Amino acid sequence: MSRKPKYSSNLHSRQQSTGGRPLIVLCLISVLLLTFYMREGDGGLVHSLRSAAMTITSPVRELGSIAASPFNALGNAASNASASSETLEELREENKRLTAQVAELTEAQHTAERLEELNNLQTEYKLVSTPARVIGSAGNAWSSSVIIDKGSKDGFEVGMPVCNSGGVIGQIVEVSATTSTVRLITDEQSSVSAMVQISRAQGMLAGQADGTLRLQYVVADSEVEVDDIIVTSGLGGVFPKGLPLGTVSSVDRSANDVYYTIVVRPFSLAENNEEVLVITSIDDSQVANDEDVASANKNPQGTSAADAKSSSDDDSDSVDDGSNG
Amino acid sequence: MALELQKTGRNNRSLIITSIIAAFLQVALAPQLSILGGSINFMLALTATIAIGCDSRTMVYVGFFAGLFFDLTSLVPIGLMTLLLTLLGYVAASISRGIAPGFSMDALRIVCAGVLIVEVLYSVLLFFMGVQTSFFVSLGHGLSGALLTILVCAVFLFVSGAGSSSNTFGRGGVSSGGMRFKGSR
Repeated sequence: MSRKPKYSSNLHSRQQSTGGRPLIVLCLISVLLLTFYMREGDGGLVHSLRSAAMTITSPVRELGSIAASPFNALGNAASNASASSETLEELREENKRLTAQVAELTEAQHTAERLEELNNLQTEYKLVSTPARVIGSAGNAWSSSVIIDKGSKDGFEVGMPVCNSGGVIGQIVEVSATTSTVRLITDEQSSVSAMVQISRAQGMLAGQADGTLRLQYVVADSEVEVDDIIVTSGLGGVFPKGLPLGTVSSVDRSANDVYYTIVVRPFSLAENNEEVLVITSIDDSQVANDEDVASANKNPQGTSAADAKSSSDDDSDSVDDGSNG
Repeated sequence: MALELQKTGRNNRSLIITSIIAAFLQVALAPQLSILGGSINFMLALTATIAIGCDSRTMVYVGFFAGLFFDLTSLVPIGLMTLLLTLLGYVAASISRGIAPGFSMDALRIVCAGVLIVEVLYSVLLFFMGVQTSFFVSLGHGLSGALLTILVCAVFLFVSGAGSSSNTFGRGGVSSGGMRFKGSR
């Protein structure tokens, strides 16, 4: 019995094998892999295998990316230098489109900011209100008014105050089912009970023909200075107390006059505002009570600035302080 | 016999080193190079080139794992390239039986045909599987990818030819055939 060398048999069998069996097996495995891949979800076993492979090879990918970046930059430069007129035209079109998109997004951002400010106003003054949108001007030269996009269907009524993020802008004077007309505080026929925030001196803020605001009936011995803030006094029960109206731009008093001539600059121009709040109801704490009215009658010129300031500091709600008014 | 075993071990080591280099290039370089939508498939180049100097049984495994590596490291259906490279490895090794490793017109013909068929078949199958939406675009990518891969294959063949003189790529276990045709190059 001849003894074959130890290694030759292995080599011989290897030479004889054509690999048909492993071919069939591996092809079947491939088809199975493909089938599982197509049928399973993203969290399946085959997908998980890929995730693992991607994770393992990611450092090599990064390496390749870093190594190729200078060449990519060169390629981009060459591509830019040899760009055809058609490509340039496409880029110009793309630039136009993107510019328009930027303008649109900027507008959306401004709208969001205005809405946020409105929301802050609503929260700060605890206003029960409904948002609306200015859809146009009333459109004549004799009145300052705007139209908003909500009306009686939304519970709006004549007389309701309207604010924007800067403060009061006007009052509803006409209501239809779906729209309302708001008379702005700058209108000649408009008047709002107001006071100087610091000194609590009472007056009536009225629109003028020239479009400015005048704080009327402020007695001459009151303390009023330029840049003082004018707020609603809450007298009359239409406007909540303490809502900002504007700032004093000039204070005049002629000799022997009983009242100041005070010009007020409104906080914002209502025509430019798109979103507004319509105050639909006011609770008792937001209007001037009997005590406030009595105090206003007794002391219409308000207090000194120092007294008013200390009074204001004592009160937790510094803006909505009507105790001296 | 001892000499044959030594050669086989050396060849296996060369095969592993070459496979690692190709895998590295596949991950690091292939995604960075793209011309006309096609990119180099280093695993295809590896399978097609090594098949010239290897037995069909080994090539079935080489093709399978090369394809699987390609599928796992690319965003393509897993299993398709695995299947194609397994078949390519087997068929190319069977056809090239008797052809010496290294750069020769016979080897180049087989490699070119193999790469072209695999790339075209792959692009067509991707279209029918719904991965690609345009048939002609898919085909275009396949053709440009095939062209780039063939260029890499040519380089691989040169390297393997230079290496075979120092037994870098040998015919695994078929040394006599390898020696016979080496002279005819």
